[in-house]
Amino acid sequence: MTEAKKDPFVRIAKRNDISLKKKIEIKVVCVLGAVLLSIIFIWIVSGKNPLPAVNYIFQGTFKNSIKIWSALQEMVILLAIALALTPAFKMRFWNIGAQGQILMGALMTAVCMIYFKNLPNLAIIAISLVLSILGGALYGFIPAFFKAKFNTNETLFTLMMNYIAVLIVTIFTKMWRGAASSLGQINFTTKLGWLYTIANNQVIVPFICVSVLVISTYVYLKKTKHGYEIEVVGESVNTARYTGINVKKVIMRTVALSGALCGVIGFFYVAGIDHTLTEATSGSYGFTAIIVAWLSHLNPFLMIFFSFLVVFLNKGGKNLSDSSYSPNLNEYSCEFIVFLIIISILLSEFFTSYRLIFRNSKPKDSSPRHHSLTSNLLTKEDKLNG
Amino acid sequence: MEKTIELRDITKTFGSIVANKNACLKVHSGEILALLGENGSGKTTLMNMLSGLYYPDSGEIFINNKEVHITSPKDAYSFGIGMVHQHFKLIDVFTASENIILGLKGRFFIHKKYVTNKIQALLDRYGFKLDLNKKIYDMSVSEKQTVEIIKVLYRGADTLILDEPTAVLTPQETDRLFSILRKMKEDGKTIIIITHKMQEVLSLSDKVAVLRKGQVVKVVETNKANQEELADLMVGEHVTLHIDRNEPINPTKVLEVRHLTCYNEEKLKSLDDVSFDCYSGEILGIAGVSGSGQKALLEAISGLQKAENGSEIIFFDKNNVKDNLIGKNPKVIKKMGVSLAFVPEDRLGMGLVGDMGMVGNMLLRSYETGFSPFLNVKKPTELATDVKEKLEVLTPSIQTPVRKLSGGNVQKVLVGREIASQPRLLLTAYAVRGLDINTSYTIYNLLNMEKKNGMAIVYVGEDLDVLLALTDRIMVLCDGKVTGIVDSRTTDKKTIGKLMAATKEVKTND
Repeated sequence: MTEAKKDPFVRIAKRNDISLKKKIEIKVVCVLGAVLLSIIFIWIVSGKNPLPAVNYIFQGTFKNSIKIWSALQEMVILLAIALALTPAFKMRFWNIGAQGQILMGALMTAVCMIYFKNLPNLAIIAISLVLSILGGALYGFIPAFFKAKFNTNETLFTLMMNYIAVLIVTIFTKMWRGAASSLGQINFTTKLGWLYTIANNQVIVPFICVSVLVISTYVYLKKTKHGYEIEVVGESVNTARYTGINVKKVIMRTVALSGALCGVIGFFYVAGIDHTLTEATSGSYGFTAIIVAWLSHLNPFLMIFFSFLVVFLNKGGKNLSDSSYSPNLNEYSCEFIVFLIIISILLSEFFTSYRLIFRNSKPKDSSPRHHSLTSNLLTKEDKLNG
Repeated sequence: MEKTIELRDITKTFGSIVANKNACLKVHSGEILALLGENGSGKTTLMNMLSGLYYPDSGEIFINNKEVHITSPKDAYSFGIGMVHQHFKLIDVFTASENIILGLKGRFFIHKKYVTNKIQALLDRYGFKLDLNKKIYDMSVSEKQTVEIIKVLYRGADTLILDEPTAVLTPQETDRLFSILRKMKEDGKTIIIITHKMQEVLSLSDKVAVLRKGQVVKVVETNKANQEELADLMVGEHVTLHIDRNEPINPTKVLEVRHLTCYNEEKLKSLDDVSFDCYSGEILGIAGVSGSGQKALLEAISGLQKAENGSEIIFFDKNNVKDNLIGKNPKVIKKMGVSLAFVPEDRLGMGLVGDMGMVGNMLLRSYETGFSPFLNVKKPTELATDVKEKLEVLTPSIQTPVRKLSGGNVQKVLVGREIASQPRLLLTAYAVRGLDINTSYTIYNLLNMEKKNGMAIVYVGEDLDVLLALTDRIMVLCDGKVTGIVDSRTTDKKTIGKLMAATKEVKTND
């Protein structure tokens, strides 16, 4: 049986360093493939001409100025969270506790708005900001402290901290709302502690802040001694120790910074956008931002694009399911489409580093013979195939 | 039964790296073939294709003149080919016999007596000594190697490939292994041994295949070959295998280590009451089987490893002022102004940051200077350019991640940075491991030059020939203890070999 064995059916081959152009080509092909698949999916599920559905998806963001501003607002939040996570991720500290850190910042702001009513407006805002920074930083510091001292698993730790944060916020909201069904907008009549708006538009201030954050994150990571330490610790703890970097200090400092930024986002949520607090204040954006950070390879500028893309897809999917286009396309099948496209982008990363060689394909002349790396996985696959 | 294995025009590439290019090789049963080549010449890759770990991009493999496709180690065994890899693939918590039968088909329950008898027969036949019920984590490197060899034989292999089998052995253990291999050869087995040590090739093999840049450049009968000729074939040009050694110039004491004791993470003694001195203008060699405490020793001196109470590490600066380094971390040692540099064994994992370019790596030693929170890259950039030119580092630019450079160039970056600070004491661990001959000699020359300038150098090495030729004194470690400090000019390999296994002999006598 072994005598009759042929070449393996398919092999994975590592690519040479490929050009940026080729990289973009591959990504575009992957995304187009996913879009095509989505269209076929829509067509099968709805049984209708899929083109109007595409239009609905676009209108989710671009239908009118209200939709555009709303999409921009979500994009700003998502981008800010992704940026807040970046220093910790750069250090390979898998902080998935953004949700909890944001809730802590939000809670601090709500506390200020409710208990400091006799202070001037500006003072309330200033105190809220400071306390939300401290709240978020402390909430990030706790898992970092345990990681540094006892090498606990930060992923589990920060995840658990999220649940605790949700419960703490629930306790406070229940206490404040009394018998009412929800907290309602805090200081609705006095607007005390509400963030100032420009031209009555509550997106502009956060937008300016996040633009500054993009640049300062880049500078912090690339140009400062702190950023350098973060990169060394992320690459190799041993190298960091060898150089004399205090690894524990860097871990605690960086994650506290990450948490502080999340705390500020919580402040913006309560003082600038929602003017109220619920346990669902940050929604699932604490997690979605992780995807944005990864898709961008932790590059602050790429995060602008990917946070827009994710918001665009979300809004489009929601608009499609809300529309009268087809009852079969409910919110779940629309979300399915969104993730199909996101996954295809992630998958394209694989194709930019590797390629597949099939049994009878001829080697290209441009490259030195053909490249291959038979993994055990594929040898097994080969056995299944023949 | 006569058996021939032939490789024809084998090519294998990984991305842009060509590991093998049109390599041809033929081997017959009852023969010991040595594959000789520098690191990165494609010896291991070629053999991995024969043992089923990789599949060639092009080219054919013939066994007894019949083309075969080997796509897994299982396939390889069906053709009687088995390989002992350089890094052992054993399960620590299993016993020897459990490891040997691991993955083989059989009845649901293990028929222990039958298995033991079968393995014992193999052991006796070739004269191995091994306790089959010993767990792997209790074994010495040489015992682990025996398990690997038996594993291959038990699977019925008549062609044995050994990848750098002597790298981890003492000279005495090497001799024992070689006599076993000769016995196997008489038994009609085919032995292929991968190595870059010339003496071994000459003493053991029947034929030598020399590889260079992925190609088999020449196959010669061993009895017609000599060391110089083989070296020239390996490198592709004429090389002189000679290391200059000068007498130390007015040596003064730089380091005094007394009663140094350290524990490793498993709470076992990694260093046991180590005492020695280092002098300026002198190269002190450290010999020992790998894992005898070399790493702990250098790390303890540079402040990375905690030393037990009662240990003393005294550093003498230019003006003969003493500093005790015990209990100080690298940062404190640097702040004290102790002029010490360290080239660690794990280059990319400890000495350098792989994803950074040369500039970023030069920064590692100096990023903290100045009060500004921002990095100052001016001096590191100059240093990087300087190192690149002086040591002829082959890199597209000083910003290219050092991970992408070849092993030799990576080491040049590291050594270049450490020497640049002009330390009084330079610690080096396996400074030439994995390097080609020319780069190795570049490093030896650099060390000799700094020695002439009065630097005290500690050189942890594995090649005894080099240690004897390069250093002034050799301290031998065994199980964390100093078993002897000898004069390199008057001692020989055999003496050092005995010292390397000194405490082990005592143990077996117990």
